[in-house]
Amino acid sequence: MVGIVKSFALDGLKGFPVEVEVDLNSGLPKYDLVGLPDKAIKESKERVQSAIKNSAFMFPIKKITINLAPANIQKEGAGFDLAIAISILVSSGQIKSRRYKDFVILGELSLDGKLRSITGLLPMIISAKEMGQTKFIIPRINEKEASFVSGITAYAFDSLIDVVDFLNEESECEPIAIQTWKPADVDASEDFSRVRGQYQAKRAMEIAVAGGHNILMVGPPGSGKTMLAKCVPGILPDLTFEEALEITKIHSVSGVLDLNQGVVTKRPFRTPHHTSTVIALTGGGAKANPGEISLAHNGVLFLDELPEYPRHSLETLRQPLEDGVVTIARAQRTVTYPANFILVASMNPCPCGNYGSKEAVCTCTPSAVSKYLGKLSGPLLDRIDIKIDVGRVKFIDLTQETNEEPSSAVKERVNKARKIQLERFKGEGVFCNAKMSSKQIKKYCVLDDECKQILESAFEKFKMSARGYTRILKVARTIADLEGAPNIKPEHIAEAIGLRTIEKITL
Amino acid sequence: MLNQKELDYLWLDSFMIPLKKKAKIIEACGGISFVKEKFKKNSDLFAKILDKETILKMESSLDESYIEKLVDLLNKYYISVVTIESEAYPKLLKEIADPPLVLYARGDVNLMNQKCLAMVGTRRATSYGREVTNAFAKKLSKAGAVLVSGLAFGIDTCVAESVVNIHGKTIAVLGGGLDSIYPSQNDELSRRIVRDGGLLLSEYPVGVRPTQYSFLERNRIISGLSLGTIVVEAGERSGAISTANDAIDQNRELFVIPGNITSFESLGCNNLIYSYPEAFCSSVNQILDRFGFSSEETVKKANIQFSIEAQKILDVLNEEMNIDELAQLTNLAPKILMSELSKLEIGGIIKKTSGNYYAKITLQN
Repeated sequence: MVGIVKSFALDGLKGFPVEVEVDLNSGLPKYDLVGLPDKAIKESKERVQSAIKNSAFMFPIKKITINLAPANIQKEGAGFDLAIAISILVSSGQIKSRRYKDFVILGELSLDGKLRSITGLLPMIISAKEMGQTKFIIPRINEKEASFVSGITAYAFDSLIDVVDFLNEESECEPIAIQTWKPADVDASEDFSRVRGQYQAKRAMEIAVAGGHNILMVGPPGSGKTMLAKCVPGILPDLTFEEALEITKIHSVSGVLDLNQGVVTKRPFRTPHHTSTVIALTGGGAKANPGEISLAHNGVLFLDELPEYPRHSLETLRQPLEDGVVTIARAQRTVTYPANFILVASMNPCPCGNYGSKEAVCTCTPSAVSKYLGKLSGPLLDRIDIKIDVGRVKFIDLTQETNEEPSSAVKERVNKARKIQLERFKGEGVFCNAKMSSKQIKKYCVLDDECKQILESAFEKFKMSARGYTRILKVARTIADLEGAPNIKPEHIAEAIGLRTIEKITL
Repeated sequence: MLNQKELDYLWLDSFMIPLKKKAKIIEACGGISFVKEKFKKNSDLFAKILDKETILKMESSLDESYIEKLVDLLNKYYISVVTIESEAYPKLLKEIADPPLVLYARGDVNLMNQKCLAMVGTRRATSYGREVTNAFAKKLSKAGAVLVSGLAFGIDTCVAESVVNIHGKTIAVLGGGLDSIYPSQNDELSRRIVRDGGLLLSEYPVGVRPTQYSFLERNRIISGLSLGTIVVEAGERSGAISTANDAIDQNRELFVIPGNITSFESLGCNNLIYSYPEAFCSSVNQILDRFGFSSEETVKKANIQFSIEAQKILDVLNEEMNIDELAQLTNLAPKILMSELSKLEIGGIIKKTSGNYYAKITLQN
């Protein structure tokens, strides 16, 4: 008899159904696995055999043929172990009930028959649900991940024996209780209340986060750029469940998900080191895995010391910064991952870090300075709406007792501004000011005569480009939103104009 | 078309012979016109002055095609030649101890005989240096002075840019051949200089790369062309100091702009003032008066109504100030402060310097 068990596999973030078919034939004992399995699936033979034996079942001494249908799509990972084991037990008559036919079965086996966690469970369950599958058998360790998806019935088990008992209707158990999701309290490593001075930088951060603008901080070493960046998680707007699911899917696929949480509860804050390869940043590899920019989806990608990253790595960020998605094409597959993040970057103005500083002397040659700044291409800088100088804080500032505004207060304003934007862009496929198209800028950034006049004189004075113009409009829109103002006022434009750096990186 | 004398100079100049030896040869031969002839007849005289290698090179370069090639190169790069014997050679430069025998020029050579003023300074200009340079250069240029600089980074570039921005005329003296501009970042600027009727000048033939020493040699031309030399901002070991010393050796006027005693880039300037107190210069009018330039421009004081917040900022902004200090002193909320600062900046009342510092603009352009 042929045992056919339903399971699921992933292609990028989309799941597709896989049927695990097992047939037992007479002949010399043999274990044949077909249907484009990868190395991990091929090795399932040893795990499945030991798990079946150690769970006090009988591993059939026959010619076993296993097929993963559809046979023409590449399949990966150890998530088919349980389905293969169940299928063998069905075909060898050790599972007699027909109950297994209702379930999608997912899980990795250990040699002693225990169930291990698998990656990518959430995207598989969500895809399966969309295709009409609502009943699942999953490992206990992945229980949390499935518990936030409504409209499904999932059973979590610890071991192969438990699963078989359940499928044989010898034992009954309760499905996983559906939980309601709640964002976690923010535990940013730094709080704005601990940053002395730096009013402009803090304000710029607030504006950047409120409007989803990318931001670049330029300043000498020790001026607090990294500390400011670490404050960002504390002021990010509240996460919605839909956003959380999107993040969780990506994190689940790449195996960085906290299984105790199940679904991500806070916005990601990714800080890849500057030695990261292009593939680590954008995603790729043989399996076309998501990269750091996708892991930062709906959150923040922090690139410290921006010019230290290889130029070609930075250039690959251009398209994702524009589109919010990254498409990875490899010989075997083409995958699109979301990559909608706020880029927070910091850099020194020159190799020694003191160029333009009042407190220390720059020891770099002029050509070294221009070479350093030249590592950042114009198109990349064009996609960064806010660029600010961060100076060193004077000693006197550090010793004085001051009452600095805590991150929570800033976050409240950010939340309000985001709400206004969501309302404004309803149904337009855009969620924040930074992503406005030129058409939308025309529609939502209406200027009165005084604003126009300020902008015009600034244009002449600072020799701005057309791109600089739209950047200022977008930022001004966000500043107005932070105040709850329906229209952009002159002071908003003026403040937006102030959010740029002088010297060469001015664009 | 070049005349025979010029061709002779060109020929002699093409062998990279040091200036003093060149002068010696010409003297020994009784004039540039006889050098080639003498050399053909009897190279013993030359063997005393020059090394073997140079003589071999000269011997293999006696035919007409060598000269033709030289001329072709000059034409290719639009370079004209001014020899020490020609009319266009700057009179002031002839007075110095070691004037170059040949000047290679691109642009209007007549500028060299107009009232020239050298303006030099550090390659690492601060915002103060740039502001002073910009203000002085524009005023001097408008008053009719031709500003001479070296097209180096920093102050030199700022001088040329300031003048070109108002379509004035300026001379840039380079430390290498005119075929390639150093630093290459100023290539575009050099073209703008020529386009606006300015002049690029060098004592080095086509193909000579600048060296450490050639920049120092070049400095004597900058000061030598000029009635006076203005040192804007110079570090302790800046090349501008050597230009200043050249100016003194050449008996020319020296003007030194003082700087903050805490600023590294003004150390050299302040030292110069200590050595030559009469060189102290704190106003562009000093220079204008000294050379009889007329400054017909009257400064228009803008009559602008400031908001209460802006007035508050202007009241405390007496020195260069960080935005944090301003926030503390004015007690304004950061967002209001920033928006007011921007407005003042656009209005040209204050300027943003590096690292979030702001300062009032006191010098009118």
